[in-house]
Amino acid sequence: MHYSGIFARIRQDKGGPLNDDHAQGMQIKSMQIPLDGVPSRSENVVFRKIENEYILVPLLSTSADVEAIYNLNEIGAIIWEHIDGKKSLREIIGELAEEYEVEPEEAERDVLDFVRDLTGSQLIRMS
Amino acid sequence: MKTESYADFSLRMHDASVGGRIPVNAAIELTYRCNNNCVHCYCSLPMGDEAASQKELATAEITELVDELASMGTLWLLITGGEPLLRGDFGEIYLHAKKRGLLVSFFTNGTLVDDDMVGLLAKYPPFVAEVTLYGATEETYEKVTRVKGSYRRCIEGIGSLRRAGIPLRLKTMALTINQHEVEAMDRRAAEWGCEFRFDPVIQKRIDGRVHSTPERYRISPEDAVRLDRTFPKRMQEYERFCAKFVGPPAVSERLYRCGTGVSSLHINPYGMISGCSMMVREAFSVRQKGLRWIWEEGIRSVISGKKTFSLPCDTCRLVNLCGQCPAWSVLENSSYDRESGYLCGIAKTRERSHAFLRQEAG
Ligand code: SF4
Ligand code: SF4
Repeated sequence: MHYSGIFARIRQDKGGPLNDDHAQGMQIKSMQIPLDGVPSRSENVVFRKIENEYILVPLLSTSADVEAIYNLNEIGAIIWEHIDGKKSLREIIGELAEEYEVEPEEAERDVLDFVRDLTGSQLIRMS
Repeated sequence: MKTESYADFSLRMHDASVGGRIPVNAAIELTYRCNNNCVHCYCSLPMGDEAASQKELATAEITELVDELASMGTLWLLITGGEPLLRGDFGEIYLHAKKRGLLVSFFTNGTLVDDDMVGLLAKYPPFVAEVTLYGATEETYEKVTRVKGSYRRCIEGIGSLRRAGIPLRLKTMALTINQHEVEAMDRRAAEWGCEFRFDPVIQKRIDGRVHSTPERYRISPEDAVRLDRTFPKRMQEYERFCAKFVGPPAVSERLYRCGTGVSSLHINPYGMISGCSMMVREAFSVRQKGLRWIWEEGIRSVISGKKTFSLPCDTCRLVNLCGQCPAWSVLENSSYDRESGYLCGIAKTRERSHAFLRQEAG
């Protein structure tokens, strides 16, 4: 199991230049995420699985980047499906480590990477 | 975070859908009725046609279909007509599809866009809204639509959509009576910051009714070539397309070779489902068979049907360019075994007129 940031933002070509991904990335990388925090999914996107693709389709115009469609890899999709607005990150990590028989450290790294990416794009909110 | 271009994503989705035979693209016509009465329309019925409206799919039937499409893997949904905004439940259907995670586009004549509609679209933006312009001046526009006041309402509709920042594209059909304004429409679209496209190919009515006689408004093949030349960018794209696709067809026993029904399907206002809007003979009623059966059995059997006759098209190097297909043959000649002389004429005139097409022949 490895998430490794395979979470792509898909831009419609008609869009203008992207915001500064690099700067944003640096900021997000250094973001501290408490394991007791509870992530919830944004209501601005709808999750779809089509063939082997996992996609977040924008619904409302209030999402950070209204023209973007987001593409998750399988691990990302699994994490997304574990987020229910009730379980803490620690609980989610525990569940994943058990279900997929991986070391908790590995599950933690995947989940934190994923949550950093998605909170940066306002697709996940932490509380 | 990685960023992928929409074009690459779309290509990947389409490749996957062909392999898995998934209807990633679906189109639904909500009604054939329209508040305009365009001279060239292949389907329109009067807005107050009660008999037509009685036969149309009900809201619940449509939302159920949308749910089923979503579960079968549809990603792109086009809502069209007739004039889809004529139905009071357009907003409900649109929002339902958005909430199922579909990328929803719609075609409209733009004349029925009110504040409520703009509010809904501003909050839940479409993938794209495409408005058809019928002329750059009121006089020409209303010669086509045959409805007084339609030009003003359309321009106001476009204005409201633009002000609300709705993703918007414009298009027209090039007709004998508006072809002199295609350039002006293109300029207007550019001023408005909208993409613009036009189509010189007009199909006959799909129901043989007399509300319109589209074929009378077809421009000549020479005029189609003249329009090609008027738009250098479009011409370059066409040249690139030709470089890729001109050549003798691959040998195939299939009747339908276009790829219809492999990753796309079409639903008409009465629940008849087929590979595309033109396949009127090979459509199946969702009220009798259900969407899954139609997709998995009905349409599959249509597209694997064999060809039992020969046509000049079997060896023609323009076969990927002209648009000829069995559905066109049926609409033009009421039979499969004759090509459309109309499409053929445009393609052959282009071949004679454009150097890049002629050279290929050598
Ligand atoms: S119009 Fe003809 S070529 Fe186009 S999709 Fe339909 S059947 Fe195929
Ligand atoms: S319709 Fe004409 S141009 Fe098209 S493939 Fe047939 S012969 Fe060729």
